[in-house]
Amino acid sequence: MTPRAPHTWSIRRRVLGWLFAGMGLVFAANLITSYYGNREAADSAYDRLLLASASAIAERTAVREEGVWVDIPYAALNMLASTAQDRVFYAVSAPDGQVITGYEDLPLPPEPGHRRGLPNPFFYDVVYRGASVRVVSLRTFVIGSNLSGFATIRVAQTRGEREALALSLLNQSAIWTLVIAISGGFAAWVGISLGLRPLDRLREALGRRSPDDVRPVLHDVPREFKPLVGAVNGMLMRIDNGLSAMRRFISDASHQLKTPLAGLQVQTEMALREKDPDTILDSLDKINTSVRRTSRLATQLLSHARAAEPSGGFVDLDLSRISREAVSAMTPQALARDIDLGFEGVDSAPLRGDATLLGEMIVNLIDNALRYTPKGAVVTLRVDQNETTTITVDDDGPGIPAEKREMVFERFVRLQESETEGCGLGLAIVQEIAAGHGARVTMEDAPSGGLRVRIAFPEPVASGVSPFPSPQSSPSGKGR
Amino acid sequence: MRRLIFLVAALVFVSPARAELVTYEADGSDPQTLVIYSSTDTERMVHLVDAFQRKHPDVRIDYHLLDTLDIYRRTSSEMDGGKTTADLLLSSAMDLQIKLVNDGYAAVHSSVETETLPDWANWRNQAFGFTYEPAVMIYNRALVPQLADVTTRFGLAQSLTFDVGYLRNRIVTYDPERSGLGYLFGTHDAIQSEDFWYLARSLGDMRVGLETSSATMIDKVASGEALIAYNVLGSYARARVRENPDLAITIPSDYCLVMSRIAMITRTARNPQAAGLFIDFLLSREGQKLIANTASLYSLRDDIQGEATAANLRQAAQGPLIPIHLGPGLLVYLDKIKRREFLARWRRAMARE
Repeated sequence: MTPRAPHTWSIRRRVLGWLFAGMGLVFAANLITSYYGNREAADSAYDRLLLASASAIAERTAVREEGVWVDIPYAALNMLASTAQDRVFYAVSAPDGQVITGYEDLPLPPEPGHRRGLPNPFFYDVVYRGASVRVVSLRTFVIGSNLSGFATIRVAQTRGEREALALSLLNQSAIWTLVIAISGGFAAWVGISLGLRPLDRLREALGRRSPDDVRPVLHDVPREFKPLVGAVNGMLMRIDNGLSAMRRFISDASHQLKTPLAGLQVQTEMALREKDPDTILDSLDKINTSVRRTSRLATQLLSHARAAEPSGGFVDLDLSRISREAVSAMTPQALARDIDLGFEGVDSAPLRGDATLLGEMIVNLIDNALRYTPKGAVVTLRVDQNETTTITVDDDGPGIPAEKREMVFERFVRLQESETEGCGLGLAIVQEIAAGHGARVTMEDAPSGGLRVRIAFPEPVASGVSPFPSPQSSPSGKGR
Repeated sequence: MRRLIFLVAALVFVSPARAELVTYEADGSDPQTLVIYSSTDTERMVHLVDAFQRKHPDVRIDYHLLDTLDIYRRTSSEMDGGKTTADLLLSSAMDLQIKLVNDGYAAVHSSVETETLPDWANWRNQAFGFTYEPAVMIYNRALVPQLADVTTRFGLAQSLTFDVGYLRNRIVTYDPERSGLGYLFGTHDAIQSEDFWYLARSLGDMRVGLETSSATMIDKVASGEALIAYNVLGSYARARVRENPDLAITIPSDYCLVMSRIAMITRTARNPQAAGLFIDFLLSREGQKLIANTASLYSLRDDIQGEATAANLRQAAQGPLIPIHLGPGLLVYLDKIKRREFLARWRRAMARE
């Protein structure tokens, strides 16, 4: 459907073109069949006249002393005087086949292929004296004292009148065909104009919108345009998602960064007023911790905003390799907290997805586990792939009570006010990215007593189908 | 203007067959020849030919005067044998002309002039009637003025039946056995009514004289040898009545048969254009006027005024005029059994005492 040439093509012209091409074929076939039908109709009408003529002669055929005798009635030939003025031939044969009067060389009917003989009367076409003629052959029983048997009367007529009738019938049907074609074309023209009117209304409605109005199009459009409007709505939804993510980032950033920055300002002001070098050092240490926390908060805000809007660049990747890399990257952090971080599972787990986001998701998962488990704990990341692909992260920490598990996916929710640098965005990011890949995040009790976070990917998606979440399942709010 | 150059042959046989060739030379520098086989006397045709050649001076005309049966036989055998034949046939034997057309010997010709013909006078645009000649009775009114009251066939038959003797041997008609025109009139009378056979028996009773030409019959009536002639060509009778006040014409009031001379172009004509021009001339107003006024053959076109015209004839006639239609019906009486039967019946009617 992509126009190769930059010409503007019209649906109306296309539809009419195909309509006329199709109608042309149908009408041509119709004319051909109707010509033969008309010929047959003309034949059956004029054959009756031909038979009447032969019957009139048969009635006046008898046996006399000298043999078979016939008195051709004047009307028998005169009734064949038609408007096309066809030529007329006849022949009367005695039972022995000898022509007793008429045109002796008038062709006989073809030999019958079966023993029962030809039907009586029998009609056939031959070429006689340079013209194609229609002949009737009528057998009539004659009997006399010395002779009995079937005399044969043949009456023939040139085809002029029949062809004239067939052609005039054809003319009529051709005229009707033309009328139908023209009215059909006109109706199609009007129909297409009316059919496209909802599209005009849609265009006007969209044209009236303000530039940042990204509400989905809810106009009633013909079924044929539903897919197009659906696609447009999907696009508007993604634009809306992007815009919301941006707005959320801005609002989150302004809200979340305000407090730490205000704290930093207080701390530095206090440090500046200090004279004691030890106290200053102590203050600087606190400031450093605050800066680090703030920096991490900023990073996560960005990451979260990005997770809410998948880049769309889905590729074939190996989830197992990404997981191993993430585990390696997080190992120093684990060591610092004396946590035993390990990887288990398959060597290779092919999947379609966004490698960067999936890496981010796994890092956040691990980071979350490290952050909320005590020193000396064991955290294990596992990738399985049989029919579906799953990631599980087990720890032997305190776990999360079942009734609070939903809450942790909310932004900025932390279950315990700890001294850790968590800002409550980690699991929200995980949830966002998982949803972007159509995966489900669940929490359950780990066998070791701690928490198990499970991410279950759907069955491998076929390429070409958009893996983006449908607008309804987006966790980040609806369009306005 | 008469360019009658030479008379090639006058074949004298015991039979009435005649064969003459008259050539009308062309004035033009580059003459082409139009060959005509015709059954119409040169005296009647000469004014038409002259007028035609004035319009088309480069057309030389070979005019073969033949009997109607000879026209039929010669044309068909010449064309069957692949020999050259006439370009144009003009014949009073309507049935034989129609048979030639039906059997495929004719060429199609159509023009503004042929469009003016009534349907019955044009068959397939191949055969064209160009005269309108009634079959009438002519009687000697000086000798038997009371015959003016006999205007129908039934009336004539009754006059013959109740005749006290003066009509015996003094009535003439065509011999259908020897005259093609007589056969045409007789058979068409028989188609019209069974009264014809009553008339035929009455004629046979009165020892009717059987002739082969209208001229002879009129001669006999004029001389008083016969008192009345039945089925005489009105075109021939009219000319004689004008000269001889003793003669009178009766147009039958029960019905009057009308025959046409028929023109057709042969399929293998070497000069069909000239033949077409000649037909168009015969059918044109000018040609029809000449037919009515100088040839005395009665014009067929309705838009010609004068005495020997179809329009005038219709006014004079008290009964219906029945033109013999061109068409396949004319083939019926050419059927050999039909002809045998008709003539046998005619002979039986004639043989009565």
